[in-house]
Amino acid sequence: MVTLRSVPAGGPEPEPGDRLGRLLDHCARGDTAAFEQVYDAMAGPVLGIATTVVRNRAVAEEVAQEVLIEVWRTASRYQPERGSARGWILTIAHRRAVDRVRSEQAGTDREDRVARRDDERPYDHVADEVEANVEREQVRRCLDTLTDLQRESIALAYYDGYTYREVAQLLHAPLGTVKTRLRDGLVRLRDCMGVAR
Amino acid sequence: MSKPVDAGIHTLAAPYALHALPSDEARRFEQHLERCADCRVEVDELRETAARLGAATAVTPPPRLREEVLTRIAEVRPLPPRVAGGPAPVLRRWWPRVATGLVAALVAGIVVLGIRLDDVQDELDRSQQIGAQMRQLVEADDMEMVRVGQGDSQGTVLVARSLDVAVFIGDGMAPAPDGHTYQLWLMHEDGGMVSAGVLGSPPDGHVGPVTARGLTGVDRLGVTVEPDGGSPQPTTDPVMVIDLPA
Repeated sequence: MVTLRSVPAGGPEPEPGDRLGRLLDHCARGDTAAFEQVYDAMAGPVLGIATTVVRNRAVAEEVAQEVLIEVWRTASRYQPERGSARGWILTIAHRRAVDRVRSEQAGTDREDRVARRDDERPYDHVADEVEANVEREQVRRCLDTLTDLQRESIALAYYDGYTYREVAQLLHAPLGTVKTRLRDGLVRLRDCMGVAR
Repeated sequence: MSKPVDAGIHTLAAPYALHALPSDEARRFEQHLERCADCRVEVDELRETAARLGAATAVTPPPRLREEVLTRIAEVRPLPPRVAGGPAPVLRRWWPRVATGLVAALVAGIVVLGIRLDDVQDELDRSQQIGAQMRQLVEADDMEMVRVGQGDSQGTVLVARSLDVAVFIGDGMAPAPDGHTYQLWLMHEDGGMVSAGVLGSPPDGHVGPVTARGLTGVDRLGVTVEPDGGSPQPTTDPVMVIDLPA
């Protein structure tokens, strides 16, 4: 059996949107071979998000498993006009990971958690096993273009799963300021990464 | 200690795309999204951006994860596409209206019958309990609604496999023959039938909501006519069968 693998080292990552979207179409019809390809393309980032947000590796694997099964089960609900298949899958992954971490942690635990947080960048947490990819370099470069406050707010919200209200408390900043930082930061990232729809 | 009213709900698109809204605010924002096409576009773009942040964290998954996932999906049937009836949020909004109607009808019925105040209180508590259960069900990520109509009678089922719960509501059902009642069944893939409760024979054709639990291996719900009091196993063929989403 021939498996297509297309991540040329050093080159720009191919736009996998269409291919993944078509594969999801096949998944919706019960095509498990198509799902295997979805798995091979997406299990890494799905597990990466889960690991970054929930920290505990065993729990992260559980979350990743749930996410991937949800992708299989709900493939027919993917709407290409609303974004890439990859974005859809990673949105599910992030939502599930955040739900998990919020349901497991009471408020005080969460504060302890942030107190223990060191200053390393969240995307370095699992640096040893992180897959080298072009995208990672791009994200790093784009994050570096943000102000410290924008970057910190986005990292606390996205990588640590805090609500914007918690982020405001953790940073001793007014809610409005945090909302503005999150928005300006994300918009800047969007432009830097050339997210097109 | 009241929360300030947020004049610019639009500013919530970024925290929403980052899943950084507390659940109550996320729900309110979703309602807003249904009316605000610009906001949907913004959320889609910001989500796509957030997804890039996620993609950058990719790790190499252990081989056993692949095995486990592939084994498990073999047992899961993908959901059918949504046809007619609109997107989920519309279906979701449908429920609370019905619930309110049911509770009102329940209360009205009790008052008319002149039952003791304590009983009314019990019923109200029960209504509130139903309300809380319903909220939980409606909020489940995988909540699905299925409706079937046969003649004038209509069955509606809300299912959330993650909660292992299905709720049945019947409308426009002809009264069961004298001395008989409707009964709800969990129909297993292997042909087994397990009672999910007696529905009675309502004069107004309205039954439920009846909560059925234990959906493992259950692919349909069925309604049969049984002698008063119900039967341990169905004695007649179902008058209504509802396919449950996988």
